[in-house]
Amino acid sequence: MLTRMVKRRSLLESGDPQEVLTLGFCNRDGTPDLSPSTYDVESAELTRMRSEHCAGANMDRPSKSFNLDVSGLHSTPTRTAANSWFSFVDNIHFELPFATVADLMDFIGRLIVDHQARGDRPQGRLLDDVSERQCEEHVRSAAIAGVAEWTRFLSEHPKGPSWRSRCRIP
Amino acid sequence: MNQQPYFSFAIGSFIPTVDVAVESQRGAEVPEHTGPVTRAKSFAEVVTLSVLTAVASVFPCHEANAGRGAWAIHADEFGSAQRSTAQTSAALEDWPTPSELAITEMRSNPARLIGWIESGQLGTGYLSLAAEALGEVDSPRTKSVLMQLLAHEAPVVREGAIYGMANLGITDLKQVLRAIADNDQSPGVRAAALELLGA
Repeated sequence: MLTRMVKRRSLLESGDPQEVLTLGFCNRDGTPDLSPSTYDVESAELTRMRSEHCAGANMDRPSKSFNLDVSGLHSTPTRTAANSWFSFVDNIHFELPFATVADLMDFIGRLIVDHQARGDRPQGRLLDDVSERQCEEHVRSAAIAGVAEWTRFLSEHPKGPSWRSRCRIP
Repeated sequence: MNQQPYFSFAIGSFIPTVDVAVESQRGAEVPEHTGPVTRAKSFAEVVTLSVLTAVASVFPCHEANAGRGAWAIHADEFGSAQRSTAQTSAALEDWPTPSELAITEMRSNPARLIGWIESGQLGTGYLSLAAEALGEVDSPRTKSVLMQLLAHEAPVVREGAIYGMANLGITDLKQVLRAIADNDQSPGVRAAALELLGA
């Protein structure tokens, strides 16, 4: 299941393509992201995906995410490496290449139409949320279990101390 | 880009026929609807009335009625026809190109961030991000602006306002959040309210 993380759980409700572009497919500088990242992941691994994504993306702490299933809407998802700290997310990372903004908007249009045709969760394109707390618990458990990648991240990454504190890791 | 000003959440445009007038003496524990609540027929109207009543109970003295010894909500006070001079001039300012980065940077200037929100220059997506960011700034107007955004017609804006409140650490808005969690038409907004309530 190809999953795209977005900023609002109500994102597909209004059916406004511009909203979906802004909150789901724009770079931080406001330009449309013509190679948005996705992860090919099962529902059970969403928390792991989000936790490792946040850590690898140099974020100060894990944060909540809302996830869309974008499977089947793009013809050529491209496998790309994206995370040097965690092999799991590195191996499931795909980009969706778009030649133009119009192509991206066409994709967003198909996403909205398909979601509305399916109805809301669990049939629709909106997947389970991942909360901050779920991520913190995941990281804490991994640290306690001595998972090598998390041990390395927490001890070597510049944001490691911040994550230790946030996830209450002694 | 949707350039619709956020004032469009106004009852006057969102629910054109609603006519709300709720007045009571300040200090009354349970507000009473002494004025007419007319033509509130649709589900949306009922939901909005519920949220407005909850808002009124959190803000016992509406700014427009301060000093009158009464609190009140009049629908047209939230409407586009009631823009203040400051809000009108905000619309004419030279704002940056909307982006998440620009909004993040504007947190260092709360008055300008609020001005941008009130300018009508932000589409609903960026208005949602700005609402969340607003919860991280220190301004005496933060709470009232977020309360207004909670009544915006776009679900993503209402959801953003809820995250702004979470950032703000507001603890005295449970009644408002409960009304939203119970009555908002958007599943996403209801879920966000429940999350903030700790459910």
